[in-house]
Amino acid sequence: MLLSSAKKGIYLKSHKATRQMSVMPLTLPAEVRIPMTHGRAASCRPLVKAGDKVGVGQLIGEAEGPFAVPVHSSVSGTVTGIEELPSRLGMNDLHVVIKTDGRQSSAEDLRPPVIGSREEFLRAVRDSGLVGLGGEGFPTALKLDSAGQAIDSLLLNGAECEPFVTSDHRNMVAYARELVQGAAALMRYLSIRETLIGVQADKQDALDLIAAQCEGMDSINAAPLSRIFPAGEETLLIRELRGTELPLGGRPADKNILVLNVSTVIKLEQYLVTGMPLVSRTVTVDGDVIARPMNVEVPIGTAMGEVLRFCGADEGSLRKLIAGGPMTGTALPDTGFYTTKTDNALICFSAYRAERDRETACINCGRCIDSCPEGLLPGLLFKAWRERDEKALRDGLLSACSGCGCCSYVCPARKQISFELGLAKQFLMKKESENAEGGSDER
Amino acid sequence: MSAEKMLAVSPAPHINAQADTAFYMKRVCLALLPAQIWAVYIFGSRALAASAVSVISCVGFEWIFRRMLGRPQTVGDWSAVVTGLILAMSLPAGLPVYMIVTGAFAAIVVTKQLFGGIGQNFANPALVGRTVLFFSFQNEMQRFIVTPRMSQIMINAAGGPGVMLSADAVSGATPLVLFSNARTLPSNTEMFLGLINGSMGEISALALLIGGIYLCARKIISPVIPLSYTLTVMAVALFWGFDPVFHLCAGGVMLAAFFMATDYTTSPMLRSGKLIYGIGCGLLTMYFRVYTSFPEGISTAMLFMNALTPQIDRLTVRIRLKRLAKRRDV
Repeated sequence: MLLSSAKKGIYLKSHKATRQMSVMPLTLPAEVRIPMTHGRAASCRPLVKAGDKVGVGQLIGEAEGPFAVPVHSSVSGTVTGIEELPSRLGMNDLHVVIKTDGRQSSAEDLRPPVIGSREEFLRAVRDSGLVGLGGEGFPTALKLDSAGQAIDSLLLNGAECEPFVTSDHRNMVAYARELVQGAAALMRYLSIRETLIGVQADKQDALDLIAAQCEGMDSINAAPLSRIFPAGEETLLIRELRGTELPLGGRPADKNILVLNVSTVIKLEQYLVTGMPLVSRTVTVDGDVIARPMNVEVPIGTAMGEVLRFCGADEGSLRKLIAGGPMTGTALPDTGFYTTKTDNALICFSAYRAERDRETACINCGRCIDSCPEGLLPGLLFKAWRERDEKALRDGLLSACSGCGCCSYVCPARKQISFELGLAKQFLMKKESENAEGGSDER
Repeated sequence: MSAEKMLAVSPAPHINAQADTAFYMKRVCLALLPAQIWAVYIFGSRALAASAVSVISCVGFEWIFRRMLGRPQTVGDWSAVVTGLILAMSLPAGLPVYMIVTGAFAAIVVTKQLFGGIGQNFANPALVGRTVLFFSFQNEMQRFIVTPRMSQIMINAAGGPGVMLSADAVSGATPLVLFSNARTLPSNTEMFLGLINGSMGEISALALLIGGIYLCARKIISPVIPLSYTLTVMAVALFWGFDPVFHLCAGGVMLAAFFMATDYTTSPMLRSGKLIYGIGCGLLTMYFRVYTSFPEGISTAMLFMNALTPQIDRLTVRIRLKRLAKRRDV
């Protein structure tokens, strides 16, 4: 044991102040601006124009191509225009502006999908407007489709190992039945033999509720996950639940495994039963400038400022707004954004938590190595990247880095290791494509 | 958008462990406190003065050097304080001030800053400082003062008042010198508690052990090097028919095992490397002790292993990556 690197990942203080709080619906905003791009899905073409009346769940953004996911209205009201506003990625994106009428009446043509085959099921998943709700934002239908026919095991990710965030947790508690039913539907239509629902052991209430729902079902089971961060990261999840290693740079499908977030499955089941596509999502609002930390059910396209005010944010002392958890989320330059399908949390920090110390010299303490869940040597990769040493980056198996951020978290020299390794990955990919274009077979 | 306040934007993760370099260095200083207190108890205020001189000159040299070169100031990371303390612990209490300052210069300016500052040094600065002093001032480095408290201890050990040395600054022999000269040795209990003469921070194995256990328990250092080092020393001693406890407590083994060999920068980063390093330090220490008449066995052994560290790292990293690639292949 002395010789093996026993400890993988890191233990984080959970800060989950909202773990016991049921989800509160947000006071209906007067206006929403619904982005046409969500997560990693491609942009949609708006189907409505100013003056159109829309209902909740009405299709307003048409998906073109497999990478796009349809967008639906989250409110009932009148379209007042289509605006080009900044998106998360620093580019502009079309937003459909809808003035709410307060009635929240559903669109007329909503009905549960009729499904008889795998193709019809995939079609329904696409129509539901689902992307990965854990924050990853990959189009769910595309994920199911590209996983192929050979999937035999479904892993549902309820780890929620990020500090502060409890939106998956609260959804699992409130919708344990839907979760298990959704898993059953996925298994039925995709011919999957077994499902494991992985939940971090600190969420015993969710584990118990899910286990109760699984009773009598041999092929669906709940399993506790270790308390480490990042227990929900794909390779770790598969290692812990299935005891098998993903090949380097491989996908779960290579091992006939499909990984989905628990909230995604819950929303999918709700769509299959009611026909109501994804129009709102649970957002954990927390951080040291939030007076009333809580989980809020937020219509897609709500102004972030509105959500923050609902939770009593002290906007004067807000210095950092993170969409997602504090380990992997994105810091936004201001509050003028609109919620998307992937925002599982809005974490708000004051200056005290927002400031980062200046980077100092590496002292070779090896903490990054002890923390890396992939068993990599982040400090060495970091040095290789700073020297633009392609060979050392490749030999150091950079491609296995998942960007979880453990190395940056523990680094006493305050180096942004995982961020820079992300840059290094792009650098390597660019070099590889250059080599390919040059027609050289140099490796 | 202009109405919105601009917020802090930085890459994830947005939280970090509280411990920075200074945090770890301060903990190492804290861990040296028992040895420091024992030194003051045995050698009196001059032990305190010697430590102060060493720390102040180490920090001073670091500050001046960084300033002269226009580099960012690094005295705030406390690493110079650690070097100063460890250097002091490895010196005789009565060493003249200018010699201590010379040692600090060799440690901070020559070994650390000329190679780029913290994290860049090829060898442990305090170790080089002590070694330079040893080769420059052999007599003074082996003159261990006998304070009134020390003479009291020696009277007790002798079982009654004998020919006693009343004045300060009369040299007393260390157990290792007695060992080399095949003279009567102090008991293991005396050795362990520190009722012996020697460099001021090295005499009490107990005090060093308390600090070392604290460092391991707080995960400031990995226990691999101290364990493999001390166990190797004891095993080799046993193999050659010597008393393992004597060799563990004599000289600087405990100080070296917990505070010098565990220096982040000059020891291997992987566990397997640390094991090789610890065993290497132990073997070489015993080799120098048994086969040479040379009293600086530990320093030489550790400098040798410092120099080998990059090679150990290269070897163990290659093995680690090869294994990882194998495990993650299709």
